[in-house]
Parts: sequence; structure tokens; C-alpha cells
Amino acid sequence: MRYLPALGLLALLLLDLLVGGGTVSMATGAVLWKLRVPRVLTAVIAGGALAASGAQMQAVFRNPLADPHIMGVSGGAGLGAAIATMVLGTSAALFTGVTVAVAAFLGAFLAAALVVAVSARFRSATTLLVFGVMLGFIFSALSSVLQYTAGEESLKLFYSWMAGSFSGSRYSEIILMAVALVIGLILAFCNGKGLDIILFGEEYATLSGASTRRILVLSMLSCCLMTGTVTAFCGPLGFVGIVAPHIARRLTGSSTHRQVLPCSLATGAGLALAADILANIWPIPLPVGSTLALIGIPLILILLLRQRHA
Amino acid sequence: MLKVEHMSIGYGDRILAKDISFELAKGECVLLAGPNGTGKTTLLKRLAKMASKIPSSVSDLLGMTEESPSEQHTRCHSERSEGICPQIILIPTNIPKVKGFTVEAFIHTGCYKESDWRGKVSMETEKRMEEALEELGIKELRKRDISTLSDGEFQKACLATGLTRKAEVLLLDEPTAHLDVENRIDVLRTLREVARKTGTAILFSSHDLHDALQVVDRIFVLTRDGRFLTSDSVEDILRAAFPNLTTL
Repeated sequence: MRYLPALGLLALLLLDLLVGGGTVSMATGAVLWKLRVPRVLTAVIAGGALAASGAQMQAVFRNPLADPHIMGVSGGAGLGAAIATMVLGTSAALFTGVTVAVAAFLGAFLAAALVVAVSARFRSATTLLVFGVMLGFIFSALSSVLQYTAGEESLKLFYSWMAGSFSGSRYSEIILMAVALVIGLILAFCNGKGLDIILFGEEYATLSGASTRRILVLSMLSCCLMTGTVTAFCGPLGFVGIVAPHIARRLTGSSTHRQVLPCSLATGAGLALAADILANIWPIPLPVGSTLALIGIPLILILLLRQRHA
Repeated sequence: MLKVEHMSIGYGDRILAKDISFELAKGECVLLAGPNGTGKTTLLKRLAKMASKIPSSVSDLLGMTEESPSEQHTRCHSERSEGICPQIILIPTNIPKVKGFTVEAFIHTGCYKESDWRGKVSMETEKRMEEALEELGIKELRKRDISTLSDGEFQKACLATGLTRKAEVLLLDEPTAHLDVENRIDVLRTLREVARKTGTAILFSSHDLHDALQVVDRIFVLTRDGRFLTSDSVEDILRAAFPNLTTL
């Protein structure tokens, strides 16, 4: 019973290797190593990174629905991608996936930097949360404005990135995401006891000797590093960051981050793999962003209903 | 154990009370009373070095000398070495009972300064926690999730955190707020016993004068006109603070 979640994750991982990504004309080895393994690795890293980011944000903002999307980090990434594809896209040399990825990465960092900068003035978690939501709306509005001025090719590239996908990552990109995940996790684990104490409120944390500002800055750095990198290569993926930490808390029966963070990694990876399987079992693969929503939204609704009953 | 001289409390330009002077002895249990808005919480926070400092202009108005802000308002003296403040710990009101923390994990989390970077506490701190749980009679709740505790039990878990952190002076802001009569009396008796047995000086604010007066050694009162009254006689001070009061 204790190893059931780990076995479930392994089963999802193997199942995901069996679906989609390749045609019968290709050699089995090539299909496996060039298409499916990179896709599965990307799903595992992206799911884990978004879940670990969500776990930190839910603690820092003491809001069960906080995640990188809510705080405008994905919105920043979206704006970066929009600028790259639609403004710089007129230049053929710049009109590549890498440009979109780097621009999305910079946009995510800009959003996170703005939240951290505002946190220096407003310490209230609620105010920061509202600021994050508003920031996301502003970035989204700016992206829409840019779309009106864009050409057909630019729009196609932008919408393809917006739909989200674990496919098409090169091993070099996967290594980059893995490095970001490792650094982000080190920051998160070092900040673990801070994330625990902040759950009891800023006043209690301060009275216990914690620096709430340090806790916030460390967690935002960790989140923007992991989310920015993942969003750059996979597009804006929602719901993993919200749902995975809740499942982790339920599985561990604990809210301490020494247990929640590693378990969130596993549940996030599991959710991403499940969404990837659902996206690839059809003759024409579906966008992962949509399958994640199909899995994630019912889970969020169940969580909300359970909270209401509690 | 704790000596405060000529302290002023307030926010910005507003002075809530001035010339606050008192001493707290080892093992004393003292009630801080007063109507809402007179600065009880502010005083407790100031003692725990939380509240903001009064601006220099106001300090000048009060005729204070050019000292560092902490010296301006508070002078602490410990029995062991003068000039070193004792370990003062404030337990605020309305700490959320976050689901997913056992009593043990809650105490470990509260020992933020006393734990290493992973949140692990030393054997010595662990031993103190054991003693505190034993002292407060909640040892059997050690593995219980705090979200399942009654408010009274949770208040004792908060007290245990303070004792584990080696509090020499324990400040509690409204520890009996939202408690039913049975739990209120239980918590107040526990405060009394903890002060006597561990030698910790306890200063707590409360509106439950009737119940609190049964267990305290002394009472401090903050009045609406900004006075701070302290007396060994509970009756005398209540008459001075509330002239219209006829019965206790």
C-alpha cells in the first residue's frame, strides 16, 4: 500500500513511453530515443517543477489555489513569447522556437521580479496575490494587443506554443530544464522550514524569529527559475501547480514541506504523464494544455467541494 | 526577571500609553487588562520587540534623552547579568490550526530559531519539548493533528512551544479568546501552574476579568486616558482604573 503511488508513477511512465510520437516506418529505437524518451522526460521534469512551484506559492500566499499562473509568471512568459513571435518575428533569423523559448523565459523572470519588488513595499500575502492576478491580466491584455498586429505565420507559432506540449524537446533543452529544477529544488528545500512557519501567518513567523521577506524572496526565486524554464520550452501549463501539492498533502497526511515537496514532485510528474498519455492516445495528438485542463479542472472542483464540506 | 522603565507605546504620532514601568518576577502570573484599543496587544508586541518604534519627534515631545530606540522605551534587566534581556516569547492570538501538522511538528516548526536549516531540533530541545508536553498534560496528543484539537488543547500546544523555546518571560495575547467556560478555566489554571512549576514569568491580556483574577498574582491595567496602572492589590487597581465598578 505504501509503495502504491510510486508504482502508479512507474506505470504511467512506462505507459507514456508506449503511446504516440512516431510512425511505423521509423525504427523502434529511433522512435523511443528521439521522440518518446525526450517527451516523457520533459513531462516528468515539467510536472515536477510546476508542482514544486505550486507547493511553495500555496505556502507563501497561504492560498490553496495559488500557483505560478495565478501569480502572473505564466502571463509574463506568454507576453515574452508574443513579443518574440510577433514583433521580432519579422526577422527570419530570429523567427525560431529558441527565440520564443528565451523570450518566454525572460518574461517569466520579469513577472517574478515585479512580484518580488512589490513585496518589498507590500508585505501582505493577500495584496501580493491580487497584484499577481492583475499582473497576469495585464500581460494577457498586452499579448492580445500584439496578436492583432501579427501575421499568419507568427500567430501559428504563438498559438502552437500557447497550446502547450512536451514533444519536440532536444536533450540539451531537457538538461537545461533539469538544471533549473535541481537549483529550484535546492532553494525550496533550504527554505523548507520557512515555508512551514509562514503557514501559521506572518506575525507568528516573525515572532518565531523567521524573516518573512527572506522566505518570500527565496521561494519566488525558486518558482520563477523552475516555472520560467519549463514554460519557455513547454508553453504555459496550468492546473499541475494547483492540484499536485493537494494530492501530495493527502498522500503524506502532512503539510510539512520536508514531506510535501518531494511528494509534490512525484504527483506533478504523474499528472503531467497522465495528461501526456491522454494527449497522445488519439490519431492526432491533442495539446497537452487541454488534456491537463481536462484532468486538472475536475480535481480542483473536487478539492473545492471537499473544502466547502469541511 | 524583567524590568521595564518609562516605556511609551503607540503608532505613528499617536501615543496610546506612556510612562509604563513595571517589574516581572520569576514565576509570576500577571494579567494585563484594559478596554479595547488601549494598547494591550501593542504593549505585548513592544515587549517582544515587534511593534514599530515611536518617531523621534514624539520621543522629543516626551522629553526622552538621545538613546538608541530600544533603550529609549525599554530597559530590561535580568537577574543573571544586567543589560541582557531574558528570552521573551509572545504567543499571538488567532494562530491558525493548519491541517497536516501534528502537535510535535507544530512545536518543531515554532522552534524556528532553535532548529537547523532542515528544521531539525537538537536533542536538548526535543527533551525540553517532552518536559513541556508532560508539564501541560498533553503528552498523549503529541501525534495528533493540530486541526483536530479543541481550542483549549491547541492553546496548550502553543504554550508548549513557548516553554520548549526556553521562554523566561511568556507573553500571551488573549489566550482565552473564543474558549468556552470549561476550556477558559482550564487554560488559566494551566498558566498559573506553568508559572509556579517552571519559574516562567507570564504576562497575558484578557477580557475575562472574572476568571482571570482567580489565578493571577497581580494585574496591570491600561486605561483609556493612556495611564498604566500596576498594583499588588487587585481590588485597589480595579477601583483606580474603573471608578464606576462596584463589585468584583
